[in-house]
Amino acid sequence: MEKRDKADELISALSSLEPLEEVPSEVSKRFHETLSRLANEQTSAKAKTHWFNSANQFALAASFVLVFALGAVVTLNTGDNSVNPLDVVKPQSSASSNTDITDDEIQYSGGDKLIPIASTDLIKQTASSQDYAEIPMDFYKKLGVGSTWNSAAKLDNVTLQCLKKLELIDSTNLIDSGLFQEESIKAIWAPVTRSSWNVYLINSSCVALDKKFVQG
Amino acid sequence: MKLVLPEHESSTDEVLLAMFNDGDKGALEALLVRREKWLWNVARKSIRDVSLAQEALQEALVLIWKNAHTFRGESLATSWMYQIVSRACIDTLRKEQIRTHASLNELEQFDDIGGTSSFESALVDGLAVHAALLEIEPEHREVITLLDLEGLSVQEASQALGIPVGTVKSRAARGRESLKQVLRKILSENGNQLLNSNVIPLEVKNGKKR
Repeated sequence: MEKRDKADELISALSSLEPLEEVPSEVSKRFHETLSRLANEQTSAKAKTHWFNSANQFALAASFVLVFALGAVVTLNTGDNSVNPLDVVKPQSSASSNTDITDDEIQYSGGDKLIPIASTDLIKQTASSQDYAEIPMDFYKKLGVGSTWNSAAKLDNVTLQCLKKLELIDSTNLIDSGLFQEESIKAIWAPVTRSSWNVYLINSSCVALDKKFVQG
Repeated sequence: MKLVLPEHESSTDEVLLAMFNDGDKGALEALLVRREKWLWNVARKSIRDVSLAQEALQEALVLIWKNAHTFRGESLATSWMYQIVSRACIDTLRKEQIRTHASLNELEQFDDIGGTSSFESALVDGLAVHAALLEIEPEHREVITLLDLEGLSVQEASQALGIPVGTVKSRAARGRESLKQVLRKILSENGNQLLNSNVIPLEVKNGKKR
């Protein structure tokens, strides 16, 4: 009743309500500049997360060419199986052998054509029960992993929050339920290029146990 | 000119924040552009000095952006943003105090001008009502603005909007009801001290303050 009275009172005073002050043009200009800066910073941060930082693209492309020229996989980083999913890639596929490559050294020799595109398709969810200690050759084909960054729109809240925490909310194609070190895990397949993926192995507490790199 | 996407235009503030948290980076920008004038007025009601109010608004923008992920949708977005702008205003005033070696008394004078985080001060200045108006359907807000704020008659509003008199009346009734609901929510979200205090009628407070 009390609240109703107060709300009624405020509504009855509408006629004496002062109009909002116009935003001075200089203030408005700075307001929009700051907004643009914040939006751009966010975009840049995201680009870095996806390893498409323009500053290192050239170096990455050059390194990739070198790898192919030598016909061998070159070790670019001393192995570190740290839990941090965004720091280390541990190659598992036939193509990448057992080389360790840091995220910043993943290569894009094909330019934009190799960069995955965002799709409105929903993130696929599968339950292969695969032991992700070893990812078999061409397993990605069997699983049906695609090369697009899919939409997280229909994910359950727990999974959604986990993807947000890992900053994979808009760079995931498929989530597979499997095993790792005798523990049930979710394998998050995040396209790095249109033919390679980072696979994050996440336990039920959304802790990243390992990250693997699969080359198609 | 920023491109406002239809899905942003038709979404509530709370939905825009949720969209931003789901990865739609343009949603928060759309929300802040939509609420630019209101945010500026929150800062201005707290800080009389225009340049300091501008500083506070800048700081608030960054804080809103960086903390958007903490918005849980349990309150109105305007209430949430109001708290952030108020905090930024107080921080700005404190920094100014340090910079200019202003005395505590001077700071208190600033606070007396309105630099408090209490939503009551917003009520005093009608910002809460403006916030509530922003929350209701645009077509209802349009009618209420003409009838209640600008003092047009139903007939005049009907002509101005090009809609039948009956529609004006029904939109006004629905709009006032929606406004009441939103105001109740704002009142309940912003402290029992407000509900327990003797709220002076808005027009009296406005007259007293200004």
